[in-house]
Amino acid sequence: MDTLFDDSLVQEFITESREHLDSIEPDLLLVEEQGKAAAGEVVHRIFRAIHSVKGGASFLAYDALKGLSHKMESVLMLIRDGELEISAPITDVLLRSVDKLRLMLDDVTASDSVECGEESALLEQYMNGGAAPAAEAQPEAAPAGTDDRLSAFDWQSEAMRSLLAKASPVYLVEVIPAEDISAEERTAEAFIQNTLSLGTPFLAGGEELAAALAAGKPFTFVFGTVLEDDLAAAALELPEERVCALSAETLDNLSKSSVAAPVAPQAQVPQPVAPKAETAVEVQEIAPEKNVAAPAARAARVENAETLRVRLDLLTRLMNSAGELVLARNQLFKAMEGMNDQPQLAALLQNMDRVTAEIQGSVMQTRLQPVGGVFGKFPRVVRDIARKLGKEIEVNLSGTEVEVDRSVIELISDPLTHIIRNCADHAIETPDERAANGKPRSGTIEIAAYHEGGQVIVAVIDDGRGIDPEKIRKSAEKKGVITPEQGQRMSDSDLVNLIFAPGFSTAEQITDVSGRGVGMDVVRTNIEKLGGSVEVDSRIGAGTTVFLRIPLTLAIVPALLAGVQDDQFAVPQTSVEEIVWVRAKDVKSQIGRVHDKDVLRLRNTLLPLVRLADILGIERTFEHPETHEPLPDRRARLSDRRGGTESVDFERRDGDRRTNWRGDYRIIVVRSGRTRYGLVVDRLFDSEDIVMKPLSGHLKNVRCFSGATITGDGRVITVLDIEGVAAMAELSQNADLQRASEDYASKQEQTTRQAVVLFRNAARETFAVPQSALLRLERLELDTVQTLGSEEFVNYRGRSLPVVRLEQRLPVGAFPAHLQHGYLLVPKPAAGAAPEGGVLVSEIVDAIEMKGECEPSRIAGPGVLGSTVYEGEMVTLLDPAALVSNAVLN
Amino acid sequence: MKQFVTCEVDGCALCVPIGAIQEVHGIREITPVRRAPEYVAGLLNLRGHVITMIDLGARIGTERGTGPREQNIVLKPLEALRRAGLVSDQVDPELQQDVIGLAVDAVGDVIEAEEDVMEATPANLSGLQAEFFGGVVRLDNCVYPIVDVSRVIRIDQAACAA
Repeated sequence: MDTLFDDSLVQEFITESREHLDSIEPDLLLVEEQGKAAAGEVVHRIFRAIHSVKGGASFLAYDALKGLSHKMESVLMLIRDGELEISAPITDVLLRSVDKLRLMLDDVTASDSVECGEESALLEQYMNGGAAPAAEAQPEAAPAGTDDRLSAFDWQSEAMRSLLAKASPVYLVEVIPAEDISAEERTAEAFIQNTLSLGTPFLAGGEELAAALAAGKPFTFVFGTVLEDDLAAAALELPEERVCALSAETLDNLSKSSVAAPVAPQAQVPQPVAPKAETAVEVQEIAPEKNVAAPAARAARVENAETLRVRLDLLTRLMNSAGELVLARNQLFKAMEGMNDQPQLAALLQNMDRVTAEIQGSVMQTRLQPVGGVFGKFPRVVRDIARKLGKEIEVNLSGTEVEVDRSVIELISDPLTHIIRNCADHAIETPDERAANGKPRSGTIEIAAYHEGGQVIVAVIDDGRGIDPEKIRKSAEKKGVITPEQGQRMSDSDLVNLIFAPGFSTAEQITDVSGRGVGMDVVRTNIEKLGGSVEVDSRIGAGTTVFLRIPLTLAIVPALLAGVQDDQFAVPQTSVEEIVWVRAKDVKSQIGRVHDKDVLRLRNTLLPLVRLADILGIERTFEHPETHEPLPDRRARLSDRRGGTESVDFERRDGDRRTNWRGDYRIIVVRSGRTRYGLVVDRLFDSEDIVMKPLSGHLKNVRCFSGATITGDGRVITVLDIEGVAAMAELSQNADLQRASEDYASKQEQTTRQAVVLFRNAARETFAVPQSALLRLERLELDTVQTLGSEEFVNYRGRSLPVVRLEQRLPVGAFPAHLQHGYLLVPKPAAGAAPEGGVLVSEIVDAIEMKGECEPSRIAGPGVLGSTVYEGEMVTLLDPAALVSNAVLN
Repeated sequence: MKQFVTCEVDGCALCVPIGAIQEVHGIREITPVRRAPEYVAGLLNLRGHVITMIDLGARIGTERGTGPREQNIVLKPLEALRRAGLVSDQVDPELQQDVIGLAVDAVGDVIEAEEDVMEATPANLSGLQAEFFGGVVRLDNCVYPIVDVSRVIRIDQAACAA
């Protein structure tokens, strides 16, 4: 039939039908949630959607699609006309039919071969007997429950057929492990052995009995045996009402995949585990406002969907072109540098710059999609789990309109699903457990998205049992994720975040929903792959929140450009924490060695250092200070700074600090997830917006690069993969280093160091003020200082600020008379207050860290804290706030 | 009658089917990729596209001379190559998005050859790895082995893993 129709027509049908099916799912849940209250318009909407699918299918002669959608339509018509009341089993069947329709659409030419007999049969059952259950609502519950449970089994499977052929009678057995196994003080093994000795059990999905028992949740299985009716329950050691015989008639119907006949009268099955009718009522009582608002919002979404459908590859191409336009503009700017004699050209360039930015922005926007697209499927996911486990869970979505790039949406979908499954499976307690703890019977999972600092945060908030850090610690120690010493030292928050560590799973039991031992670490890996991060915050008994921090787009990222010799590389700005410039004279004190690895003393941590040259296999060099020619660097390690003649050259305080002097080290402090290290490079360049291009398949094994880009000057450069570089440097395995870092940190806490600014007023007198006490440090031209009487003032941000000369307050040397400029230290005022004044000094020497203790100073005066010795010089430590506040009081 | 472009790498004369070639460029800045397999010459910026350059000499096993490769033969995108029947459908899936170029020492003329002058690859292609060639063209007493594009662009898993 495909030849009869234009391919595009079929394609159109598939796309449209998928959209219809996507809209049906939330609507069905809404109807179920609200019962009659919602009916009307929402049912109409579902009806119309399924009708469109049917129309298209029959036009294109896809018989299976048409058949199933026709039956769904008929059932919906009954519901719409009030002849059939919607209930959880009906919703189940409809939802499953939607799944089948999706399956058919996936390969539409083979759609007729998709097995949907079961769904059809159930739908037919509702079509035929539609009026009856609605009229007498009470007895409907039991058979519907049985049907529901019977329909969980695959009656057509080989195993089931052979079981049915051999065994008679056949029973439906329900097991509640908590009551039947644990409370009876027998082991799961004993139960399994006993059961196997009596007959053949068959579980839904072909699951093993042991696995189902281990999960600890109630489950049912079909049991083929030779035991008579009254003996079966006794032999299985189960209460009689849990074992019900399935009549020959029922089985016959089932194996012909038609469940039309009502289940035999002796099938007095107890209530299903989660009586859905009750749930619906409760939900309504708890959150009536939310439910009223929802249909309106959903209806609005449908009506506003008047958009143009554009092929994705076209958009991708458009975005690539826009990216190239940005690069071309950058290149043009570089080429135009120094051509200032062409004013009209500059104007043109500016215009082009503006238009380029606009195009780039709009094109990016076309690829942005609301995260609601991903969120939309979660109510269904949670509902299915909740029904399976007998839980009551409400899902609230917020921020569904927050938009991120399509590629990001695709990449967060799986990790988010995993988190939410975990949440529904492990975090939310059973209604009884919740009630016992004084919580509402129904648990809540809130999924929220919002913007924060140029990124998007997706938070999954539940009010479940929370994560017990103590349990995590024990489990992590047992699994060797952490050592007991580490465990003792870790904070609760750090412990909770261990759930993301590789090889760690908190699930004490394995269920078929989640918790197979891989999980949260995969979530973290995937989120980090796209430049995001994930964190968890939990309180025992109150609930857990998982935060995903994700970038808006993957296409254009700000990056820092760094160089090793002639090679240039880009480091994504999101992984750059800070840049540390270690000058030659400080190398000895700041760079050390721990177990064969170079480390940087950064504040009170030891940061492992990775030399990019080594990782990339580039010969290390340094530049000669005068000739700028590269010379081979033969030092085995960074901390080996050779003394001797070169160090004499270091008298260059006023010189150009950017000169690549051989002793200096430029270190980019990078972080990816929990890996943090210093990357030693030769040179640092500007930050630039780069368009990431994937690397060729030929380079897939090059772990240190994640992509390539074209810089403003037209060169191709590679983008460093921070995690890959760390892996190549074998950083993560280095436990020694970690221990050393911790020891160092604890030692540092004892001898506190503080960051100070060293300055002079008169030559040869050195003072220091703590950096934390300063608001600003500004260069001050002396001719801008105004006088009023003996007081001096400067214009500081629109108001006049009193200027205090150091020699006015303290018995120290005066400001050198020949200087035309000095520096103004503005102390941090009290919270909320404006600065009271500034201190004029002549020269800023350095910003250093020095030890906190000091001796009493030889001079006395306001603001003198004490004196200490730094590099052989006496330094007087001052409190700048005291200097100015005193001045103002006078 | 088929057309080929002759080229030279480390003193070996070769030819490439003209249908596989998108364009030829003279010397351009190629960014080497550290830690890449030896046969990858580096990355080339072609009007905003990043082209992965394969060093044809390193690939087919010639003895490397001195000096950089002076000519870059940029091949057509994979899809076009497939349509032209120059690569098989089983090419590595990782290469779907790639545009690949061949770095050579010199590019010569376009030659035309009748189908019947094409012969099976002789076993002794003077030290070259015969697997990279799909026959030879004989013209005016010269022999030009035909570069099998399909083979040359394939990912060398062993070299990548190293």
